[in-house]
Amino acid sequence: MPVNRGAVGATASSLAGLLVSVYLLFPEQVTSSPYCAINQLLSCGPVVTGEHSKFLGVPVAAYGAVWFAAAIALSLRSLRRPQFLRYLAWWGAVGMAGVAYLVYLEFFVIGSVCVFCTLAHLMGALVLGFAVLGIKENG
Amino acid sequence: MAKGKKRQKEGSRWVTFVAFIPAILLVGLLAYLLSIPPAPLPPGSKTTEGSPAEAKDFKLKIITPDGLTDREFTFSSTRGSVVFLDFVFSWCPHCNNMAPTIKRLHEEYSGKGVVFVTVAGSSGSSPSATAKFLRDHGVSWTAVYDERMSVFQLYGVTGTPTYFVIDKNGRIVKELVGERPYEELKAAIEEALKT
Repeated sequence: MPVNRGAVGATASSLAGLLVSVYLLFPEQVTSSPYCAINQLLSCGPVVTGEHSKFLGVPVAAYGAVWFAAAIALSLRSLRRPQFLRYLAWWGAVGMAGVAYLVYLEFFVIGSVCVFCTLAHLMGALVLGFAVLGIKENG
Repeated sequence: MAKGKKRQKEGSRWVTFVAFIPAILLVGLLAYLLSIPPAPLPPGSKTTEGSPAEAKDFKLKIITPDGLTDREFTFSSTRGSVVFLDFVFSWCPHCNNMAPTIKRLHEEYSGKGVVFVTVAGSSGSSPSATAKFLRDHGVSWTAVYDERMSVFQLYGVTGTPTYFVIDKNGRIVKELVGERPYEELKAAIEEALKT
């Protein structure tokens, strides 16, 4: 059976996203990175340490890590059973709704954008893209 | 039949492309954000000499290398001393470059009655990032955190670093913007000490 490229891409993106999310769970490490404060808009400090860095008392990055962990499970499963790519695509769509809200918060409420958070968002978007690619590849 | 299959294949390509649109948008957003230049002014961009303006009073919370405190610093408490006031952002590369020079000035002039005050802006920064900046550069003098950027506005600071040398009567002797050589800053302080 040929390898589904979409499932492979989604697995790789999910793994990368999980790594970034776990890193974001350590705001002290994040803010001390030379890639944190790049210019007036691209600065992760207010995002990862501010009042919007937590939701219901839990760091937003933890929700991201859980999302990516589930995405890894689904994408690994879809390597053998491509029909799971449909669930992964739906999961990706849910994730994108969350990303849209987080990007809105960064731009219009916090006034700063976190480069690492945007990387995690990008990984989430790639999971969705690869899931759909995999579905189409599978016919 | 063949046409139908071709159309189906094209439609499938479009769906895949649409699914990648969020990723494409995010890559574009990242590229745009990374293309924004740092706001600080380039080295030696502006000097205002002998400005007769009086240094305006302000009150801000003190920030230390350990973080933001509840203690407040009132600028008028420095009246009677020469003051070296510098405006910085934790993320500003020129401020980071100038930090050793300011430390050297502090070592030389704090014993001669010159009061050093650093005003750290909050725009694009945070108390923890500012505290790290203070830690990294061994800032042992008074540093305050301008949470609302009100003191930056009060002093008309549009780029960082910006330095104000203020004489004992509370008048601004010199305003220097951007990276400056040690000798120039030293000369400004010496001038203020003479008045």
